[in-house]
Amino acid sequence: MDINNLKKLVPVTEIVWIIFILAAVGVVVNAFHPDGMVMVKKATLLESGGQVVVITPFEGLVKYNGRSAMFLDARDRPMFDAKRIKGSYNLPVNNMEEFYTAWEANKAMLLGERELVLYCSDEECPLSGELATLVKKQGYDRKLYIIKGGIAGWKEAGYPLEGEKK
Amino acid sequence: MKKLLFNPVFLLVVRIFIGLLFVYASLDKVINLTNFYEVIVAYKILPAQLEPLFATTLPWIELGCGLMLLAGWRIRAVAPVLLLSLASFMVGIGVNMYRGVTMECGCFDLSFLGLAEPIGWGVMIRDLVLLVLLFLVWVDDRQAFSVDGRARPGQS
Repeated sequence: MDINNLKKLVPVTEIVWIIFILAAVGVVVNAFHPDGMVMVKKATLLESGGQVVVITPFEGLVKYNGRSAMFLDARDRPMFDAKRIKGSYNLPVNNMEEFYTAWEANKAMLLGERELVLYCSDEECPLSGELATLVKKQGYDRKLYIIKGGIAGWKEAGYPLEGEKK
Repeated sequence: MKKLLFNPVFLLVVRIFIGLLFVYASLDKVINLTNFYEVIVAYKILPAQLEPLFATTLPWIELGCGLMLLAGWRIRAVAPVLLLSLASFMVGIGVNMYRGVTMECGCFDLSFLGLAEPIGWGVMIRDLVLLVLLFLVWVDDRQAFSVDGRARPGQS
């Protein structure tokens, strides 16, 4: 087969254009879709030295339903006791004593095979990012996930909660 | 055999069948965006950062290419794209079969028939047959009964 026949059979430029245009349609529709995905940029990776990926509450739910992740609450104990994502663990970053106690008690699980999904109160709260840094410092070298909107976003989506004031 | 495989009517039927199949498969993914994302996540093949991009773009690529294949427009360009899409799913299914994972294929929405579609050799063989049929449509020189065929002088 000569080069002209090959070009006729595989019109590369045309293929690239078709993929590009249709993919662009997908990205635009996603931007306006009620269940649109969050596209993660490198800029969202925190300075903790590893990858920290921000995910939507729905993406968190996928991991929750798949039982492939441990959910870690970065808030203080009273807030955790009042309302938390069902089955989550409390690693309060504002109380280092409690943090280390909880870390040591669950260390084997935390460094195990499951992914770690972190959350705090809402979109504005910085505790999840701080928890990510602390977890990395404990030797966790894999990807961490932070739920966009924290527990407020999770609750708004109607996903499973537990606690005294859920 | 070659005469039968490259029979214009046979290839027309194959082209319409595969075009409709891709349009149908993509419609559910386009509408229920998150369902398809869930499938991509379950396959555990792509890096997490690429999963949303793949989930949002692939259904539209399949839909657009499926419609173009139906119309017989730019067959030489859309057929390899669909071949690649099919092949990528076969790789995903193969890897998960190797891992011993039992999960839904997520290829077509058959829930209205009350049917599940777990990954396995059945799905692999079906995809392989589709791959071969799509390949025939791609390499066919005449491309009869198509916009591409009509655009060429002296063809139907």
